[in-house]
Amino acid sequence: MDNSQFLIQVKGLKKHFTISHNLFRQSSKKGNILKAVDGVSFKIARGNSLGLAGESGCGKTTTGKMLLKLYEPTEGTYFFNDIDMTHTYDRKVIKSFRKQAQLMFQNPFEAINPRFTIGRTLMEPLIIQHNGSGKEKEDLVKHILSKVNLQPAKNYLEKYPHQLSGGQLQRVVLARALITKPIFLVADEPVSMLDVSIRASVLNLMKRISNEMELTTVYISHDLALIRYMCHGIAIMYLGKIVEKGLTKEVIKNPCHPYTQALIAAVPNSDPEIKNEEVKIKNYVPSPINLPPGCIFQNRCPIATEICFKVEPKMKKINENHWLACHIN
Amino acid sequence: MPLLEIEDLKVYYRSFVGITHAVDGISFTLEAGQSLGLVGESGCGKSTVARGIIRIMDRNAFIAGGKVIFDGEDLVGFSEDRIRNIRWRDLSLIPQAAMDSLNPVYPVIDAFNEILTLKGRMDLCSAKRRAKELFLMVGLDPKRLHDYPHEFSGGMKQRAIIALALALNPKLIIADEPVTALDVIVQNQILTEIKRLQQKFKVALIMITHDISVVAQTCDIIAVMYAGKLVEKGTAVDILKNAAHPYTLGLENAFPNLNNPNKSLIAIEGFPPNLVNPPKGCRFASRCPFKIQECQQKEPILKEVSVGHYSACFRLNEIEKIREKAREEKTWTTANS
Repeated sequence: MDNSQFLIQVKGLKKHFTISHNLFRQSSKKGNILKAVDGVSFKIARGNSLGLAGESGCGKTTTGKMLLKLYEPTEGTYFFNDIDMTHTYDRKVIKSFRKQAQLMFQNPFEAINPRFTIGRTLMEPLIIQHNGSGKEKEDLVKHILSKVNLQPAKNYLEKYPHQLSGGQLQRVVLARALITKPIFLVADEPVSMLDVSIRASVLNLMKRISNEMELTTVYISHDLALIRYMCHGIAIMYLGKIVEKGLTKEVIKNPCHPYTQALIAAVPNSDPEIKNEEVKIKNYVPSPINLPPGCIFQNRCPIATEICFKVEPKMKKINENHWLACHIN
Repeated sequence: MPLLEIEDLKVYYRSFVGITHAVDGISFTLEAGQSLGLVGESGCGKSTVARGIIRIMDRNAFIAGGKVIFDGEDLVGFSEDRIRNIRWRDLSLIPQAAMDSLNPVYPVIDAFNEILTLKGRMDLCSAKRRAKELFLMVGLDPKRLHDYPHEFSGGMKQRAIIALALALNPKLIIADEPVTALDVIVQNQILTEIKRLQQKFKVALIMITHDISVVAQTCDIIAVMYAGKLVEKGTAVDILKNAAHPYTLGLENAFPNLNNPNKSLIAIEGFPPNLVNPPKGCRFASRCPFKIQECQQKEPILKEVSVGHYSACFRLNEIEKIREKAREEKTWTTANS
C-alpha cells in the first residue's frame, strides 16, 4: 500500500515518566517508572478521524500531546506527512509542523487569555507565523469567525472572553486552531465543559469544517457515543495500551475485548424501558507504576485464564477493519 | 400522604445587578421510596432547588415563597437549629463534586464518627461497627476506613460519600450530579449501587443531573427544568418516549446516542434568558421554534397531558404535530434566523 495515503503513522510509541519521591532531585535512580503510554501503534488516513477512548488516566491525552510534539516520546517512531517527527530538531521542520498541526483545548474558559480581545486572540497565531500583511491578517480573522458561525464577525472582534458564553468561546478556540489552515487537529474532550443543549451545535460545526477543510482529526474523549457520532476509526486505550481498534461502526457493534464490552455496556441507555445490565468487571484500574507481566487487564478481566497472567497479548487482525489484543476472544 | 410536597417554591439570589429569580415557583410531590430525576441545563436552578429543600444555601440566597412540606411539616418555617436536627437523620445530601467533599486532613472514618456520634448519638464503638457495615454495603473494604481521602480513587470517594448519606437511614436522599465527574464504568457501578440501596431501604431519592440517560436508568419520575421553572413532569416513559414540551424534545435531539448512531444531533440555538429580569410569558419562547404570539405575553402553567404527565406549553393540543416536526433538523435551525 502506498504510504503517503496516511498522514499519521505511529509505531510502538511510548512515553514513560520517572517518578521520584525526592522533591528536590528530578530523577533519582530509585525512582519508579510510570508508563503513561506503552507502545501504541496506529495510522490515520488523510481526511479521516480517529477517536481515542478510555477511562481517565489511560494515556489518551499523553498520546495526543505526543502527536503534537508537546512531549518527546521515550521510544517508538512517529511519521507525520511522511516526515519522521520522532527526533527532529530542525527548527524549520518544527515551525511548519506547528502550523499544520493544532490543538483544541477542553476548557474554553481557561484556554483563552482573558485580557486579549477575541480579535487579538485570533491574530496571535498569524503574528507568530508571519502570515501576510496587516490587512490580510484582519480579513483572515473575519473569515474564520464567520466560518465558525460567529456572525457578524465585526461584533466579536472587540469583545473580551468574559462577554461570551461557553459555546461561543469554544467556537473561538476552534477558530484559533483553524486560522493557520492546519491539516491535522487534535481535539481533547472538545465539548465536555459545554452545556448539553449547545454541545450538538459545536460537534456539528466541527464535523462540517473538518469535511470542508479535509482535516485529519484525533478526538480524545471518554464518551463513546460522541466518538461514534464523530469518528471513522476508534482506538480503545487501557493503561497506556491500545486493546482494540478498528472502524468505529465495527468496534461498537461487535466489541471483542472484554474491556470494550464493559465500556459499551456501561453507557446508560436513554430508553427507560431497556435497563442497563450491571457491568461484569470488578476492581479498579491498577496504578500504572510497576505493572505485573502478562495482559494489562488481567486483574479485572472476567474471562482471564492462566496465559493472561504470563504472556502479553499481541495485536492481531480479526478482519479488514478490526484489530484486537486479547488471548481469549 | 406524600413524603415530600413542594408547593410553588421560590429561591432567589441577591446580587449587585438585582435579584436573580433562580427558582421561580416550582411544585412537585414525591412518595416514600420513589425516585425523581431533576433534569435541565446548567444554570436552570436544579441545584438551587436541592439546596433550598435541605436549606444549605449560599449567603446571598433566600427563600422568597412557597412551601417544602416534608413528612407533614413545612421546612421553610423551621429555624436553623430545627433543620439541623433533621439533616442526615431524615434527609441527606450527596453534594455536587462529592469527590472533594471529604476533609483531606482527616481519615475517612472521622467523617463517619462525626455524623454517627453527633447526629446518631452513638458511642465510638458502635459508630465504628456501623461505619464498617456501611462500607461493606457500598462495596468498599472496611480495612480502608482509616485511610485518608487522597488514598481513595474518585469512585471510592463517591462510594464513601454515598455510605455517609445512608449512615442514619434517612427517608430522603438528594443526589446532586452524583456521577458527573466519573468514568463510564465507575458511573455504571455507582448508579447500580444507588438504585440497589434505594430499593432495599425504601429511601426516596431526588437525582439531579443534566444527563437524560442517567435518569432514564435510575428514576421513576422525571421533572424537566428550564430557567427556574418546571416545564414538564411525568414518568420516565412519559418524558422520554412521549415528551410534550418543545424544550424536552430539543434536549433529546441534542444527545448523542450509542444505540441510534444514524440520528444526527440537533442543538437548541440561543441561550437561556437572564433571570434578573426574566421575560414575560414562557421562558423558553426566545429559543422555541414553535412559539406563537401568546407565548411571549402569557405564562403557561402545567397542564395534564395524560394521567400524571404534565407539560407547560400553550400548544398542547397540537403536540402530535410538534413532536413530528421537532425531529426535523430544519425546524430548529431556522427558529432564530
